[in-house]
Amino acid sequence: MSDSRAAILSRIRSGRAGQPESPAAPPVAPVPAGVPKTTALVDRFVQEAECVGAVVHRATRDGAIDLVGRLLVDAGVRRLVSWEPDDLPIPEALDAAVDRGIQLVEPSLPDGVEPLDRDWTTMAAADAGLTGAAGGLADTGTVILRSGLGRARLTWLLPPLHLVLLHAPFIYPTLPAFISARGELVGRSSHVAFVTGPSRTADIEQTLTIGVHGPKVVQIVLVERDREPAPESVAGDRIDG
Amino acid sequence: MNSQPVSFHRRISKALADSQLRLALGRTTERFTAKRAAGLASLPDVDAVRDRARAIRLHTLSRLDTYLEQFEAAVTAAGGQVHWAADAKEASAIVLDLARAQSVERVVKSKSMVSEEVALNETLIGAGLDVVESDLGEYIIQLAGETPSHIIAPAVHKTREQVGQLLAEKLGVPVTDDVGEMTATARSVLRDVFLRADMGVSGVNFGVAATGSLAIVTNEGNASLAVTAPRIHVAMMGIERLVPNLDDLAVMLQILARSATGQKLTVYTDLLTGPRRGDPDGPEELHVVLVDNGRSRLVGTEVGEILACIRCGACLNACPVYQQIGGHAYGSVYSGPVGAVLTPSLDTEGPWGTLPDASSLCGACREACPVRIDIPRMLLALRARSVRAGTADRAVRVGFRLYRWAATRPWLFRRAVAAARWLTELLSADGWLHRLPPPLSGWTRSRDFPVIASRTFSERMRDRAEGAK
Repeated sequence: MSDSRAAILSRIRSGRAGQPESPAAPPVAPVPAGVPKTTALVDRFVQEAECVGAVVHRATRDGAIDLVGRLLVDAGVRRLVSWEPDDLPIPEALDAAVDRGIQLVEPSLPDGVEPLDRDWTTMAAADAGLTGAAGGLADTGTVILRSGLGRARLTWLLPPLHLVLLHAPFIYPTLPAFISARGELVGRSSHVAFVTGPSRTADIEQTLTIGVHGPKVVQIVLVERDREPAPESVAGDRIDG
Repeated sequence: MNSQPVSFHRRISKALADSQLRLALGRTTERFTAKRAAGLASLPDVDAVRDRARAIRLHTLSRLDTYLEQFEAAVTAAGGQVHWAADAKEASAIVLDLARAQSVERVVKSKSMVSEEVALNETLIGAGLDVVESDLGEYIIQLAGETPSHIIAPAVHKTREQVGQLLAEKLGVPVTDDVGEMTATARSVLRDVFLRADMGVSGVNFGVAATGSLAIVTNEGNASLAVTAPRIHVAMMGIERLVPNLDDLAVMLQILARSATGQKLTVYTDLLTGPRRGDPDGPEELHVVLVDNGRSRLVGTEVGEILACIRCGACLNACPVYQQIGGHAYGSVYSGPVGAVLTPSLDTEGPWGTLPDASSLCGACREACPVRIDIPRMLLALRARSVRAGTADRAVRVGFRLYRWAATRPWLFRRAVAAARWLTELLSADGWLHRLPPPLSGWTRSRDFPVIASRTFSERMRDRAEGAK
């Protein structure tokens, strides 16, 4: 195997010999000074997210606590799998949902370095998954999710409904803008997902079909700054950061 | 690469005679092309982004060795393991060895062109492993025992009725022509596959040298599940698939989905850095298999630029030849304009000498390519190479030698043209010859030949010169 490594690298080097090095791409331009005002950014996010088939609910912080449970009940959810409350932008939302009679399955998934038992059947039987976004992208309607302690990835992948909480001030104009501002988050989690609408396929006759492997429904509860000060840190930063 | 014994011309004739195929292709490529145009138009200053993307790819390739070493170090630092495979055989052997060492029985795969290239499934299934493709299109063609016919839409050649029939036959479900129902069937069958698999095998869209991150995109979410539920993740990537850093990655991701399907971003764009770190799910182990299989030999050559390709499939949809014959006629894993360059370049021993001929050099592929790869230039270079190597068709070689002989002797050329004009006028009723006799029949097999003009260019020039006196 190491023989192949040496052989591959040496073939590349002899091919490169005598060739000029192509200049590095210029660094990505910083976000221009005329960044849209937050309200414009939020409006754009809502428009783009709806365009890709996500459902967006705008709420104040207090409104969102109650809204989460109500949305789950309205969707007929009985079993819920959720991130740990502290990893949700509004920790109280989970208790409020449980108070409405929603059953929390896999209440605490085993964190730790011991190998997992990998029995995902309980999780796969959940009706909905509840997560919190580390950010949003306005020009694509994307929510950004980070794995970590208390933040199982299957939460946003397995159940037919994914409900995600997003703080409006975490919305960035574009993917390059997010990476240039918060790129260090990528190295800190083993899985960072940019999720843009519900799972879809067009593999049969290019006919758009929603919900092939991932959730059929993505609901975003967008928490807009009302009476509280802007959050200081990104959701989930308490972990491994 | 899987070679097919039938000649390229035979496969083309077969494809052209298949009216279902041409209907499916016509609809799909047209839809893709329209969506791509709209997708790119949604990007402010798209030309600048494409220029930047091209610069990123060419820069990476120009110091690929350094970036590979940097990437290897970063993957290792994040807790992953890097394996180097010189060829297809070694790449498959690495994955099989890993599977055996870990007592893997069930493998779930997400779509990966490089795994098709090295025929990974054959090796794993041959060794008794249970291997299931999870991309809906790949799953369909796996059930049918076929190969992909498009880089991003592998089952593009099948109609919905054919798929409904296939699912009924293989899975025992009722026949349907409802795409939603078929999708639901596949979802429920594959759900079990994800949850029970011991190993997930994925491709890689981009590897980030600075962080060791892997970017993997799917609309279905199948890659996300395949790299999360099983305890081992094996990511297979061509050695050229790197970008230097995350800023560069963001630029590439801005154009990848737009060029492929016209979406602004693929539904699931996953950045994976190492195995799980105490989180409640995700793989215990991450293995990255770097596959060379002929790539390193191309660095610095006249076809080296093809390594900048990001596998979006835009050149396939844009190509008037692909639109008519589809992917299977090429007979190789990579089809369309990119395949016509990549296949004979990677597999120099294979029967691919005629693939670069399947182009009118119209330049639509270069136009469509998000990183502006000059495919027509490389097609010409490969044609010239096969002439030099003496592997070009005999009629072509002899024909061009005769032409050169005549064209360098003006008196002979004038007489030959006069004779050809007389003959072509005699044979044609409408100004075109639709069928020439052997040995020229090869020319008219797929195109018409014009009748020689009544006044040739040089005759007209001479007339003008004389008139001016």
